[in-house]
Amino acid sequence: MPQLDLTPGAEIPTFTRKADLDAWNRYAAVNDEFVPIHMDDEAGREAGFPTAVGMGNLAFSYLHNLLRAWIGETGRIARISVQYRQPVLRKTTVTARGKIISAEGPRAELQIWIEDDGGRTLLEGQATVVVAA
Amino acid sequence: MTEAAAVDTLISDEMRALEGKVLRSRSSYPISASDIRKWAIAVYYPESPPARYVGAGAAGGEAPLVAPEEFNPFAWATPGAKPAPADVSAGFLEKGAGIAPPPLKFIVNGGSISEYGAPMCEGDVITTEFSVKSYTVKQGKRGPLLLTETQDRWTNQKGEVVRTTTMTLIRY
Repeated sequence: MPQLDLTPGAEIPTFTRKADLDAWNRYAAVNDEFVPIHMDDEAGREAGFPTAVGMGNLAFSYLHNLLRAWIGETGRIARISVQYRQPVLRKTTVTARGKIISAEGPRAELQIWIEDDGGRTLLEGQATVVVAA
Repeated sequence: MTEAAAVDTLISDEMRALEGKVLRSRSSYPISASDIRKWAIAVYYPESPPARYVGAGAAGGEAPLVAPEEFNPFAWATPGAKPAPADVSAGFLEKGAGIAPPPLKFIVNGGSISEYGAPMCEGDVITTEFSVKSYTVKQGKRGPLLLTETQDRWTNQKGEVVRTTTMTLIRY
């Protein structure tokens, strides 16, 4: 595995997915998360959103996928904090991103977030990872 | 409605009595290789997940699969509980504790902090202790919001801490 760039401010490779029912239904099936606002536009509108909205838990998985791809099999995700700022809307494209805040030895702190193709920040938080020595 | 009035309306004495108590403790079925594969396929869809999540695993004569950190071993069914539709109502937490829920219709996840310890592997049995840490009320654009902070602590069959998650649920 190539040496990771732990320079503060350096961005890590992104993780992008389409946000729609085909992905959400698969996630509902493995997490037993069949909630109307995640499956039906009308239920989403009733809750005050323009469409059905994606699961926060799936977006949370996308942040893990982002970090795992970067640290590889020998790295470890130690901590993730997230705040859900705006819902994931149907028929958007979401991209998980990360930027190094600091690093000490094999431990790195990152700013992490997910944005959509409309420029909205959907989730944001921080992660601590331990990269291979 | 003033904030003080909202607190009285939304947080009952029974709810206050839940704060700090373990509401639920349960164990998972042993994690199977199939559970890990399906989870990984779903969270990486439509692309293939990394090979380490979809290998043969112990049942196929290889090393046990290791689950993604955020994998949920409690989905669908746990030993001793009949499989049943999950309660996805805004009052699920209080109903599960046998008390009246707050008069609110919607629930969203406001944020969480997850700390990971020992990895979850194929064959592991995970035990959770779930508790309510606190209830607070905040004014939102559409009216009062009930914030509920919960903690979920997972350990494996060796007593190692696997994951601790502190979550804020927003109800309105």
